[in-house]
Order: sequence, then structure tokens, then C-alpha cells
Amino acid sequence: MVSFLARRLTLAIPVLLGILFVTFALSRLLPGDPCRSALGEHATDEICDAFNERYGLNDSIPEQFRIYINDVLHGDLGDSIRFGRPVDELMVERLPVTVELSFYAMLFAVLVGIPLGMVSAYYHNSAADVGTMIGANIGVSMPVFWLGLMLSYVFGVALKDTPLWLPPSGRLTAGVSIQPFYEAWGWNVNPDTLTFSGFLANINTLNAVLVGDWAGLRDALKHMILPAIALGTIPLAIIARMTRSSLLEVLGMNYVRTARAKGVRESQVVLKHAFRNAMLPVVTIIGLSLGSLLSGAVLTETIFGLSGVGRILYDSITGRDYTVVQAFTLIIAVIFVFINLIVDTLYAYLDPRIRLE
Amino acid sequence: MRTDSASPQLELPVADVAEITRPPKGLWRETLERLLRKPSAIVGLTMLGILALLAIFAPVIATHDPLAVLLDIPEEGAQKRMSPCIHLLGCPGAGDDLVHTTTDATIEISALSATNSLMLAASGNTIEVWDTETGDSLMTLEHELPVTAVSWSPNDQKILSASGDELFVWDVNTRKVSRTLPLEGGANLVTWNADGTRFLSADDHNVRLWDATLWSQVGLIELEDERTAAEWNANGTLVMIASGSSVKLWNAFVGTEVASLDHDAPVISASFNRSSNRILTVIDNELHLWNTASFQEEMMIEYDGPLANGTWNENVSRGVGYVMASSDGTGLVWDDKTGELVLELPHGERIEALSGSPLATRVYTKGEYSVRVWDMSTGEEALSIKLDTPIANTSWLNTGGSILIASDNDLRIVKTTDYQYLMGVDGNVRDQFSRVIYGTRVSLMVGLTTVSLAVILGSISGAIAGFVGGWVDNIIMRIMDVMLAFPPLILAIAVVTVLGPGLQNALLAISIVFIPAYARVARSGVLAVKEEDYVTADRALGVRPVRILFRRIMPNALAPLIVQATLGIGTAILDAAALSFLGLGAQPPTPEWGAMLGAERNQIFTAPHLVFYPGIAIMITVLAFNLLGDGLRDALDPRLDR
Repeated sequence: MVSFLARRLTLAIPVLLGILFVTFALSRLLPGDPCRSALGEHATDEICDAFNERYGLNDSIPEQFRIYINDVLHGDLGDSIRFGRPVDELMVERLPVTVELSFYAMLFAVLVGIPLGMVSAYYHNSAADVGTMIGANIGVSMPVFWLGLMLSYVFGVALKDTPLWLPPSGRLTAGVSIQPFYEAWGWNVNPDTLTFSGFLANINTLNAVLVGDWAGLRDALKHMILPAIALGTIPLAIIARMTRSSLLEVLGMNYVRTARAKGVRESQVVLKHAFRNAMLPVVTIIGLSLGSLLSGAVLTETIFGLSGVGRILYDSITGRDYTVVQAFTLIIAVIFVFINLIVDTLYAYLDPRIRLE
Repeated sequence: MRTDSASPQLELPVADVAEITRPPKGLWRETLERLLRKPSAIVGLTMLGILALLAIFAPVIATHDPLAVLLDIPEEGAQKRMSPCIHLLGCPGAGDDLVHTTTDATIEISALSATNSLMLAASGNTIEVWDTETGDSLMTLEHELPVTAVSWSPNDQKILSASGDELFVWDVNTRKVSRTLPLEGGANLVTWNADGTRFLSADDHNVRLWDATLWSQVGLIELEDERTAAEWNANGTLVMIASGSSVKLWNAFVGTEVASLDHDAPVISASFNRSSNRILTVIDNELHLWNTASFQEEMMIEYDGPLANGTWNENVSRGVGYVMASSDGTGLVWDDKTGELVLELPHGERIEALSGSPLATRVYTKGEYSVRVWDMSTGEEALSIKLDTPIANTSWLNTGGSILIASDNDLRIVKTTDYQYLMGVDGNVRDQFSRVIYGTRVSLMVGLTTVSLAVILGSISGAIAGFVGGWVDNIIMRIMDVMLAFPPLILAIAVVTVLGPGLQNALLAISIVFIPAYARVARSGVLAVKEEDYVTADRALGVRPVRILFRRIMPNALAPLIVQATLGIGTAILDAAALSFLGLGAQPPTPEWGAMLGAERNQIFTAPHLVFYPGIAIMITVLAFNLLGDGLRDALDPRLDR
């Protein structure tokens, strides 16, 4: 196990270096002048010289790359050119939004997708099965942005003045704010500096639970429903399909027949014998979907007015904010690599048949 | 077919090697037959066939040019866009009431607010105000005496009414009187100027000018003869008053006379054109057009019958200008530059009013019991509305798609045209249906080209990696790993931003993003057959490696590539649509579904149909490719057959 992990980690190193190189190269290749893009009409040649000097943009490209790697390895992600703030501050602000969104999207996908897939597999070729699979096929074919817009129309406008109404944008109703838990608990945290508690406090629902602000929790959850459904539908469809085909395969196996022959109750056969083994590929798919969630997050955040990672990435790519582009693509790619690593390890751990070479 | 290939066994009999050199000839046919037994593949293929037909015959199927702005009926377009009427559920046609409200007493005056979001009707002592979209009654303004005149302020915030010897200024937000001004002799006309800083009130012989910031009377104009018209110019600095045989222009700030336009006979009507640089007056059987800069007569038009109701019908942006008048039961339209008689509109009943639509594409003529709408380009009747009760007044809504009609106790907004657009009209007044149809071409093209490019580049690099092995393999696959470490859409956004937005660059970006997926599939396919006996035999025979790779190995690795590619087309279309949605892909005015969605996304609350249809189109196309891909996978991999 340890050697497996070590091997996988060593394999990840060149990938991580490659990611560093790509993020650096991409941001240097972006057309347009960051100074003029950031300062607009205030940019004069003198100001831009000082600006380039300050952000190290006058150095040669290899030198910039060297400094960049050095900074990253020291945990310094630099200052945003547009916001004039350290990128890690922005990350504390934006990352929780996406984490929260992805969490609820995945929760929705798993809680709905797995039961659907199970029903579908158990009642193979029944109307429920065919219906679920048609639904799943439509689910993976749907554009996220379209689904988001239609949801916000149906729940935000068409169902207005009914109990089913849901807010079509934002994270909290205007005027509602949830006290950060570290304040409520009397911790002495400087809100301007990068802190893990700041990160946690920005996950609204978690923070509301920690503080015990139930009205705030309700509000935050209400705002999360539509984006989570929009973002979670594609993983849901994928998970349902995967659960179905995997469970179908397992249910046809000899040991399941043996279990039935022994007189084990049907619910036990399905839930205990078959289900656990059928979950292996599903776990993999869930892990892999986390990466595609980040793609969907750009669109979902745009539509629902959430200022998360996807949104800031899009804004800073179009706004030539080099440092932010670098830092956020880097962090996403790193997270992605590690999720894959965890999934691989988990898979190997769960399935003893896989030899840990 | 696969032999247990532990190590190359060169002493195998030749016949054995020859047997497995090539897949049997019938393989493709067999695969196709198996494919056609899959319901999902059949559905997918059928859908794709229909989409392909739509793409090929788009010019025949589309009802309009997808890029053409529908200038002949732009007003209708605005109407359709704003009303969330999804056609399939039935939209009102010409002559149908969009809104219908009733009052307790006979309506004497009706008026639309400047933005057309509100309308009012005065009947007896009350003024009632409704929402023009929903017809909901918003407020009732009660007076002690009958209301004789009403006017909306230009910002919709105030209503000015004359009742008895007083003027009332109502605040629309609080629904209360904000000011009462004494008015000797009452008024049968009140109107605001264009910026809402002044208004005038008039009875038959006196016109009073008021300041709407100090709320005081600033001028009084006494007329010898009965007033026939009183109107503000476009910027609210001049007042034009017609009485007797002269039309006079007055300074609105001090109430002094600026100019007098004299005629030989009593003036029947007088009106400014939209930019107030010309005035149209009517006497007997003559129309006179005056210039308001030089105060000189520019043109005189004669007709062989008595004229009345002179009015302008012009649209500067479209470059059209007409003057209109009625002669008993006939509506007449002249070109305002040449004076040529353009149209004669046989209304029948004596015409009491006529008016051009905001974009001068149509005209209505109003008699006592009927309203008729005419097309300006052909002069043909578009709609005829007959009522049992006398019509008090009518006016165009500024979308031009409907008319407000007040008659007896009824106030209604009637739709004037029957133009049908299957999916409505977009914000730039283009036919959405035609755009969706033409979008099929773009999306199919996008899907096929991106995936072809990605498959070619990916399979070549993957095949080389698998075939050559060693450090080449390592380098290529590590590069692919790095690319796979980025969420696809984010990488695509970054690449497009580097290359510059546009459909071609978006295609390229998506192809690049998809290369690793195909490289992996190709590589594993190559690895699986690389050690087969027939390859070893070829090598032993000294066949060139390139030939071995492309003639022996690749055909065997093709099946998974085809499956992956078919499934990939759907994803490519989705990603291309997403890029276009974000404004990085197809640029306007290309009819691309994602871009159409992006352009109308802010209209989602008012015109959801404009977002609905392009999205459905994307979904159907992607679904077709996914179903076909699923079917192909099952057909090419018999182990999955159940």
C-alpha cells in the first residue's frame, strides 16, 4: 500500500510540474497588456512602467518562470493585478463558494442517482428502468447553462407566490447575513488575513450550523438548491447509469445466486451482497465527476450570480489578471490530480483483486 | 480471435498466422447488423438523419433569413419578445384582446403612460389605472366632479387631471393627490411637455402654461377664436396653438408669441412632426407643410374633397415619412417630401382619427363604430374591428403590435396582426425558428470537425506512444496527463482567450482539450494488439514500422476509437455551445445555439421561449450522438450484449 502510494505520488510530480508550466505559459500567452487592462484609461506609459516593475513583468520570461516556481513553492501565490489584493485572500473568499456548490451538487447526484440506478437495475427492462435510462440519457445531453436558466425561470418566476418559489440568484437574500462562527465563538481572528477559519466561515451552510443560525441556514440552503440541481444533473445521470450497469453485472454473478439459494432475504442480497461490490466503479465515477463539476461551475456560477472559483477564473482570463489565472488554475489542477490519486487509492483499497503493483 | 500471446512464437505454422492477419470481410456488415438491433442506436440514427436533413435543407425549411432583421414588422417582434407566449400553447392572433378591462361608467378619455406600462381611463368622476401587461387594476383616483382632461407625465410618475375649476397632480407611487392647483374656467385639454418640467391646460379660448417644478402658472394665452389644436414641440420649449385661420408658436417660458403661420381659411387641424421641425396644417381641401426654423410654407397639397385629421406618419431611422389626412370615409397618405398621393384607404364610415404606428409600418383609421388597420407598404387592410358601442378613442401601443381601444365601459388592448413566428422573434427582431434551424448546420459542423481533428491528432500521438514505447511514450503520456489535469472547459476558455474569441478558435480549443482522451484510447488499443502474432510476423518479414502501425495495428484499435469519438461529438457540441454562451465562441450574428442562448439569457424572465428552444435543440443533437454512441459501443463489444 505504501509503495503504491509512493509510486503514484512520484508519478504525480512531473504532472504537477507540467501544470505549473502550463499555467505560467497560458497566462503569458494571453493577448493584451495587463497594465492597460487593469488601469483602463488611467494607464500612461510611465504608470505602466512602474506597474510592470512592481509585478515583475519586465523580467525575462525564464526569469519570471523561475521566480514564479520559487514563489509557489514558498506558498506565495502573488497579488491580483486587478483587485490589488493577495490571491490567497481571494481564494479564501471564492473557493468556499465552489466547494459548497460542488458538495451539494454531488450530494444531490449521489442521493438521487444511486437509488435510481438500483431501482433500474433491479427491475431490469421494466418501465421504471427504461424511463430512468431515457431520463439519464437526456440528463447527460443537457447543457448546464440552459438547465440553470430554465430552473431559474420555472422556480424563480413561474412559481412566484407559491411555496415552491426559490431564489433565482445569489447566495443569501439581500440583508441576511450569517455571523462568522469565529466571531460568535469569540475567537480572535483577524478577518483580513488568510485563515482556515475564514475559509470555513465562507461556507455559508456550514457556518450557519456552527453558529446555530437556523434562519440563515434555511436561507443559504434555499439559494443553493437551484444551482446544485443544475450542476448535479449531469453527474446524477452518469452515476445512475453506472450504478445500473454495475449492479446488473453483479446481480448476475454466481455468489448472488448462491446467497439467494441459501435463503438470504432479498433485501439483504441486494443491499448487502450485491450493492457493496457494485459500488466500486461508482466510487470511481464520483471521483472523476468532481473534476467535471468544476467545468460546470463556471457556467452555473455565471447563471446564478455566485462569485466562486469558476466565475473569478472566467473574469480574470478575460480581464488578463495573470496571477489570479495562474493561481486558480493551479489550485484546481492540483485538487484534480489529488482527487484522482485518492480515487485510485480508494479503488485499490476497496477491491483486493487489484494488485498494488 | 485473440491467442494467448505470452511471447512471440516464431515456429508457429504459417497457416495460423495467415488466418488472423486481417479481420474477416464481414465484420463491418456484422457490426452494422448488430447496431441496427439496438433500439437506442436506431433512435439516435433517426434523430441524426432528421438533423442532417434539417441542416441540408435549412434554406427550404427556414421561414426567414436567419440573419435578416425583420424590418417590415419590427413592432411585432418587440411584442413577441416581451410576451412570454410560447407559441405551441397558443398565442393570440389578430383581433384578439390581449387585455380587457371594464369600468362602471362610460369611458371618456383613455391614455397610455409614456413607457406604455400603465394605462388609464377616465369615466365620470374617476380615473382608473391598470397595468397594460396583465390588466390588473392598480388604483382608482376619485374626484368630486367629472374629469374633463387627463395627461401622464413623461416619466409615468404623475397623472395630471382637470376636474371642475381645479387641476390635480396625482402621485402614481403613493396613489394620492400631491398638489391641487386652482384653474379658472376648467380645462378640456392638459398635456405635459417632453421633459416633464412644464404642462399646459386649455379650455376653448384660453391656454395656460404651468411650471411643474414651482407649480405655478407662468403664462396665459387668450385666443380670439376657438382653439383647434395645442401641442408642445419635441424639446418642450415651444407651444403650437391653432385657432381661427392662424397657427401660432409661443415661447413656453414666458408665454410670448414667436411666430404666426397664417392661412386663408379656418385651420381644421395642426400638428408637429416627431422632431418638431415641420408643422402640418389642414384647411378646407388643402394640406400645408411649414418649416419651423424659417416659419415658411414648404409645400401645399390639394385634394378634391374636404380634408380633416391631418397627421404625420414617419420614422426617421427607417427613412420614411408620410403625411396623412382623412376625407370623409377615406384615409389618405401622401409622401411628405414629394407631396405625391401614396395610398387611399377606403374605411367606409366617416373617419374620426387616423394614426401611424410608431415605426410607420401600419396605419389605423377610426370611425365611430369601427377601427381598421392598414399595411403601409401595400395599402391593404390588415384587420377590421367593429364594435356595437361608439369608440371614444384609440391609440397605438409603442410596440406597434396592438392598439388600445376605449369604447363604452370597455378598455381593451387588441392585437393587430396575425404574424406567426414558430419560436418568436429574438431581441434583434430576427426569426428565432429560422435561426434554430440554421443552427443545426453550425452545431453538426462543430461536433464533426472538432472530434475529427481531436481523433486524428490524438490517435496519431497515442499510437506513436504505444507503438514506440519507452521515453517517447512517457513524454507523450505525461503531456496528456497534464492536459487532463485541467477541467476541460476551463482549459478551453484559456486556449480561446489566447487564440482570440471566434468559432474557429473555439473549435481548435475544444479539439486540443479532447486530444488526450483519444490518445489514451488509441494507445491502449495499440498496446493490446502490438504483441499479437501477426504483428510479430510482419516485423520479422521486415515490413516498415509505419506500415505496420497504420495497416496492421490501427485498424484493430479502431473500434474503441469510433465509440469514443461518437460519444465525444456530443460533449464537443456541449462545450462549443458553452464557449459561445460565454461569448468566446461563435460571434454574432452567426446563428449558433449557445450564442443565441447567451444573447437572450437576460430575457429569461420575460421571454423564456427565446432561451428554451435553442437549449432544446442542443439537447436533441447531443442526445442523438450519445444514443448512437451507446449503440455503437454495445454493437462493437459483444461482451456487453445482454
